[in-house]
Amino acid sequence: MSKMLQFTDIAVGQAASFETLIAEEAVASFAKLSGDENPLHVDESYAVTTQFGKRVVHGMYLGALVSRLVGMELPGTKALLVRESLTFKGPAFINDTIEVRGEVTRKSEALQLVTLSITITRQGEVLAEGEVLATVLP
Amino acid sequence: MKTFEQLVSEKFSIPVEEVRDELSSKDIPDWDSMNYLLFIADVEKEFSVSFSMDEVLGASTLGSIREALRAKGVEV
Repeated sequence: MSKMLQFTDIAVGQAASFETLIAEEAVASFAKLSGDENPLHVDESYAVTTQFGKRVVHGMYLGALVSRLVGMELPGTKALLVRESLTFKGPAFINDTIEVRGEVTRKSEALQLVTLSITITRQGEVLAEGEVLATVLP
Repeated sequence: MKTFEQLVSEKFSIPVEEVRDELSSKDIPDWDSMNYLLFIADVEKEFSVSFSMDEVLGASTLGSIREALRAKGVEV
């Protein structure tokens, strides 16, 4: 169940996070859903021939987890995501447990908009970082 | 730091040299509600200012936004 923070409930410095295991089924589902069935993501026999040695999780699957953070945790129910940017620092793999964390860095009163810095890590190693902007609906 | 003109150019897809204070949403095809929201967010971040609701809703031209920035001590 999603949190339901109002704009006034949110403060600069406030943070939220969750951990999740990247299941093989989730990667397969994301490949079908997005249509990105690149063999690096879905074909183990191909992936072992690459520099990664195994299948790499879609970067935008991590991006989708950021959507979960915003839509379910901070701000939650009243959030409307208006911008997301991520820079990928390293590959995520199937069966990794990752942490998705967002911290409020700005609030715009006039726009009822919050800015969150995003960090996605695996045991402290940064896999992706970026920023999201979300409006908080009245 | 980006200039006001650069922010306008990037967000509304018009050349920097064509940015003029009298331009409004009627003159700029990309000036829709979402782009305007993102533009104001970028301006607030770039110049470390916060606009009031009245300033945001009352700004009908680029010049209105520039004036609001100047009123906050930003040289643009």
